[in-house]
Amino acid sequence: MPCIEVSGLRKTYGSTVALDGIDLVVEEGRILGLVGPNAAGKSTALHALVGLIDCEGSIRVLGKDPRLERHRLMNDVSFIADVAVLPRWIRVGQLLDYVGGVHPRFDRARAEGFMARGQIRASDQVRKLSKGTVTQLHLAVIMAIDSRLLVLDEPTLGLDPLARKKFYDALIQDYFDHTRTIVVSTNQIDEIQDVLTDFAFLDRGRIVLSGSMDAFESRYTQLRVQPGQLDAARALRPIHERDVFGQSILTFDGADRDRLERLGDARTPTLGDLFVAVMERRSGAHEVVR
Amino acid sequence: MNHTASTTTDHAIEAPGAGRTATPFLRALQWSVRLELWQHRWIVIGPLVAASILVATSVLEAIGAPGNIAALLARAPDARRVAIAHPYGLSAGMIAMAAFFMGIFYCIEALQSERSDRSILFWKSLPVSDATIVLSKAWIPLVVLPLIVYAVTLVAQTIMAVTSTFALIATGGDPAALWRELSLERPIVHLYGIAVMAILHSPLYAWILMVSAWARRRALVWVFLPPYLIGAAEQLAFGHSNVKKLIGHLIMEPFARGFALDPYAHAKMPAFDRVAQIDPASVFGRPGTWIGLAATTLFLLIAIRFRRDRELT
Repeated sequence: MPCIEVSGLRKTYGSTVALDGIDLVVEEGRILGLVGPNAAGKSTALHALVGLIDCEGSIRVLGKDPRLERHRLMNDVSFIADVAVLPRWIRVGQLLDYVGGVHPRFDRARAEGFMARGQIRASDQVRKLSKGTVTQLHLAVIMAIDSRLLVLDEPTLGLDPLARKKFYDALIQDYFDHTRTIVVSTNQIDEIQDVLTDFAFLDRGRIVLSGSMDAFESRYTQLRVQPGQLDAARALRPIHERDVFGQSILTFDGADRDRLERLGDARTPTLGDLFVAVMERRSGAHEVVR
Repeated sequence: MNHTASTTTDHAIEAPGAGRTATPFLRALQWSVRLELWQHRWIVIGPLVAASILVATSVLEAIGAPGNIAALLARAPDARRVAIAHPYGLSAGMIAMAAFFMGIFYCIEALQSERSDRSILFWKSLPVSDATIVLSKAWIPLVVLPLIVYAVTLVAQTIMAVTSTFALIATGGDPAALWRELSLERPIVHLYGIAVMAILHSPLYAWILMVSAWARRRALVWVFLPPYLIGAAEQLAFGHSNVKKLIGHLIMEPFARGFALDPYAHAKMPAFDRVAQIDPASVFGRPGTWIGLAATTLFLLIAIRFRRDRELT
């Protein structure tokens, strides 16, 4: 049974279409990165997965309808929203007491271990913590829940680069220790590229490109063109072209890499490069990388 | 086109934490009530402050005019009983009234504030149902506040009785005469009184919780404005307003039934401190009580539904 099955997911706010017919299947044990520009529908999609909003279409998460069985589903799902949502009045100790009291899969010692790295004390009140520390606290609580599915909406927003790296290291370590499914949305694509097994690009409420990281690496090539080879490279029909300090950089989809290497420096693009290429030539069609 | 993130074969898929069952409803409710008390510490502090003011007034009066108790004891038996019981009934009624207003203001913001500070996104990430949360919030004015009021009033009245005893001894009076007039049944009568008050006020609390769950902002206005406008319209159209009368009744009736504190019927508060005076039939024999409880249930069910369906925009 897939961990997530979404079909024809559509959500509108008045005349604004937030999700426009999303189909998605995520098998257990995968790490899916949801990438998109602002207002692409990432948060809306993740909110739908955890039953926070009502949408057209069908959603099954771990075999349950999140809208009707949210609180039962949350026994097996951890979710972190894209904004600081921890109540400002609460003390850290009270937060841990409460989550420990209501969540059967919360490991307080583990949360305190994460907190110790960020020098967060139980007596601290959330309102007196910095924005980054609040994010670290929230991540510590979420990571201490032994869930089957982690849904992370911009989890590292507000963290410094060092804290972000530590978080992703902990996430991947945790993934291999417990084997769970993770869906993460972010704009800091290159930071999570090595963590992902799959990716999906969202734009204006639709998935415009998706696939596994293995397929992505074998299919796309980025070429830094040697002087005098630009016309030959263009003849191979790149999907994107840009200039960096006077040098042309072309991105190809499914081109013969041996042939490209004769025209310049060929390598696999980053997911960020591909995202820029796709967004700039966006036709509106959803492609699947195979 | 579909996107499928297929299963890796590197590691076996197991359900982490398998075997750990969901948190029982009562445990989640207990923790959620505790959470409310952490957030709203004034629920405990408020009745304490009200009681402290009453006790301080009583002590100052005993110090300033120690002969008053002896003068009251010198009255005729019926008048004496009413006069001695009066400050105790008044203190119980005052603390209960303070708690009533605290309950109203607690309910107004109970379900709205979690949306306005977006903390609802965190609470909803936990395996706690909307019903548990709404019931934990209803539990505060219906159970927690009455119990706090009961305990605080008991302590305050004990201090008042001890103070009066010392004042009587200091003026050469007979403390035994005072204690003969003080009903030791008062704590039982008081417990009955706060239970009746909570039951009869429950439709008001539930209505306000429902509005708090529904209103995007300014729940305070939505709680009071519609009944006020309906009452005012009725007054203009017919020269009288049954809605106003009903609201006044909903607020004051519980004080009359629970504490014999009826501002419409009695100029002075009667002594209501004997178990024999308790008349449950006057509360539970009335259809109004059951209609009120049905309304409470309906409003809470709607509040649960609103909490489940309200989306953050």
